[in-house]
Amino acid sequence: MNIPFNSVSKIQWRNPSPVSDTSCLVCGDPHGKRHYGAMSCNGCKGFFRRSIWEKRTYKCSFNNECIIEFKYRNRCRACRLKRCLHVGMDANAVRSERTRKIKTEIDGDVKLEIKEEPADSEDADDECPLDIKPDIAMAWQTKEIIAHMLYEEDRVLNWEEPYNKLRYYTMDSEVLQAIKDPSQVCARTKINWNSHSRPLITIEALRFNWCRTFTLTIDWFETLPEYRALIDDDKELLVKFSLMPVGWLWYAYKSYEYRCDGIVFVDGSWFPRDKTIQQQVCPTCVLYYGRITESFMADVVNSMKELEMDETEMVLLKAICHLQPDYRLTRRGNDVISTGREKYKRALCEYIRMKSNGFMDASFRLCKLMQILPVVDILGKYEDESALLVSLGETEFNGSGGGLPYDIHASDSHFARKNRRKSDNQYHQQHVPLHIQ
Amino acid sequence: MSPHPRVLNDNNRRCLVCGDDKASRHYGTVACNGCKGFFRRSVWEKRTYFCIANEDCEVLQQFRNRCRACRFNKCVMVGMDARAVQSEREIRPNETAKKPKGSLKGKRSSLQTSNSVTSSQPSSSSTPDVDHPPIVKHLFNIQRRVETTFCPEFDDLVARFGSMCNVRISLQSALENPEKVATRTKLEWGNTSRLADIHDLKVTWCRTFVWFHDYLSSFEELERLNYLDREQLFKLRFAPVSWNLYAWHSYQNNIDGVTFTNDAWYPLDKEKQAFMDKPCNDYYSKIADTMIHGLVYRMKGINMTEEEFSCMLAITLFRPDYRLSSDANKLLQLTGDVFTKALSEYVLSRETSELKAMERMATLMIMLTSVQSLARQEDDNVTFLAIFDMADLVGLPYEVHSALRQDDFS
Repeated sequence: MNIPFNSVSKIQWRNPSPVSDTSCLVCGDPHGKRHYGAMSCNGCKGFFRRSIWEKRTYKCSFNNECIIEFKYRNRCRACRLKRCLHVGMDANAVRSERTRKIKTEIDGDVKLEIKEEPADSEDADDECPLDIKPDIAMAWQTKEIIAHMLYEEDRVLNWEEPYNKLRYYTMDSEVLQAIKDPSQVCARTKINWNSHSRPLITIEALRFNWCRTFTLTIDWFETLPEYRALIDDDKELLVKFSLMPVGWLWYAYKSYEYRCDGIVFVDGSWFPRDKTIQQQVCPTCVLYYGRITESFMADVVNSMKELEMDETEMVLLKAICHLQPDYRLTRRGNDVISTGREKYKRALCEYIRMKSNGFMDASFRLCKLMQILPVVDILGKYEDESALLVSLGETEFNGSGGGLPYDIHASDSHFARKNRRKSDNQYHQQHVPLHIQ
Repeated sequence: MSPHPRVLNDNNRRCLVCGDDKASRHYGTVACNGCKGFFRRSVWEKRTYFCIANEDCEVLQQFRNRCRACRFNKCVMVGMDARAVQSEREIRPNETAKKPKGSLKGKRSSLQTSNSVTSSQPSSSSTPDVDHPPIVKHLFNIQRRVETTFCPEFDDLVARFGSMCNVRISLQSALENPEKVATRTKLEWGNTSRLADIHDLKVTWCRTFVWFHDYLSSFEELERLNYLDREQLFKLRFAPVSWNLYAWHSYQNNIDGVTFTNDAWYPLDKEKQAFMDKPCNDYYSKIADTMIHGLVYRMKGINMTEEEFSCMLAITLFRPDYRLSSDANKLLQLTGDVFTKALSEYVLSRETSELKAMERMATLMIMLTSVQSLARQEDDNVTFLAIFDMADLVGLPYEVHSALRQDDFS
């Protein structure tokens, strides 16, 4: 078949006559239609789409001048793809793999809804085995996920706003209101993990750091599309489950990054691991952080040191830690969270596999990183207990009684609230005096 | 424009690897069936070859088998693409290629072949069977032995077993002689004849205590620990390992709730729960939900195998903790790492790609967080019920489960 390349303009290629010529411009198949901006058959359309989706690069074993004909179009994929581009197929017209965004109006707002695209049938005439996705190099989707997360991590950490220096944090907020507007809990002051002076923590600094970390962590949750997709009730529950573990994971990474032998805080203060130095810290802070610090340093920060964890692994692990399915969430909430967790888990696997030397090294590293998660979960529970004990003995901690920290820390307790107070009182009466001695 | 002559004349094509005159396009270049098959087998089985000469052997049709290293290198050099080789389990049946287009809308079904039996073996191996890593077999055997050890003379005393449970005993005495806590009755995980009552809670706790003691004693590595470390390890790991065990048996026996060591069970169904004692509901209601959603559904999702379960029990047990001595932590970490690597090897041998194997490993590791969470809930429950003496848990259970709280105020 004679195909007149030189006498056809680009515009004519993009808008061929539907009546007089329905041949595929790539291979000459007579059953062509317009796809991706050019006249092409289903086989070449599918070939082009797969090549774009998977960012394949092909190599011609001849001189890059193979003839692409219907019967032989599979002989050389490099020349076929080149020809697709030459006749005007547009890579930008290829949709993201398996998703199509449809704008729908919900209560007057335009929202993007993810709808799965029907799977296209494979080209039956393709006699070559189909390419399978590489399982060693990172997929481009994973690179995009990671790049986006690192960008957002940096943005959230550097998010500063002017604030009233007389009253810039409070513990009197309701959980749901605090989630919607975290800046009402604490103004977005400058984050300073790596202070030169590094003062020891005080009770006042403890309260401030609790509030500032709350705001910081909620801001970070908002960067995840899975969190944003949840309804308010599910958001509230997820915050109660995961706020503390994610916060501790973040603190541990910063203690590891800045080589601090204790807990570093967002205002540059710290709580030392060394019990001798702890004697200079106020008793309330020792009661709050004393036991946490041992597990924090021995079981979490040391693991990060041994593994030489990097920031990409940290942000992916935070996302996995945050997205916890739970029976108390709605069905849809659980679906969104489970799907998201699988996504970040896969990204972590691909990332580790790419930077490791062989499967066994990669799998071992993955397991060691994942084994950090149960420990930060325990740290969260320890803080729940510390916060309740401190709040019983120090009414200032929670402002006017109850308040945001109590709501956060007491929420996961399996005791009824009244029973909780009763049992805590027993411990309080029996043990706090001994501690003071 | 006439078609290019090279395209039309198949008979003029020669294999770029060995020069065989009957060649067609395979894996992105021109190759004969022999070289195509050689390349496919090499990629499937991840073979590596070694040339005994200078890696410049001549690869010709008559001599192409003389040196596989050079043949493989030449395959790669002429452009054969390893990624074009399909996973063996995704081989498509020949007949589907001939079906009319309309019938291809559904996904093609994969065809399993007998090749999977030998694919993980090196080509020189004479072993016909797939062999699990020896460590996996060892852990599997430990788990099976502990599970099936019981005293036959008490087999018919399941109903009266409760009268033989004793929690008014110190942990030290119990570790020296676990028979004081409970008799080794046969474990009846699959028997769900009746809803549990408050008494069954104690029965199951005591029998699980003995199970865990036997499990711990099966590891000779742990004999090197001093008494304090051993006791502390028991307190730290009893609940996480136990919840792994309960979840596994709920999954294996398809029980929608928590199964007990005797003929009782605790259902997930809220309507059935309405008939049960308040202390039972206080203890199990939330924890059953967490176990089913966090562990059992996940086990179902990945079709967890008993070998994987055995490895996860051991990995859960051999985790270091800051409350143990540094010598103990070194031992636990070294041994736990060995078990983790053995599990990795096992999972890789069963999955179709390295990435899928890693994802499966990640799913298994997340279960560590779930059992840890369940353990914390149980600690709370035992403490709560013991304080208000709502169940017979004062004594040994309180001592085991309040270990974390005891540190609070010391």
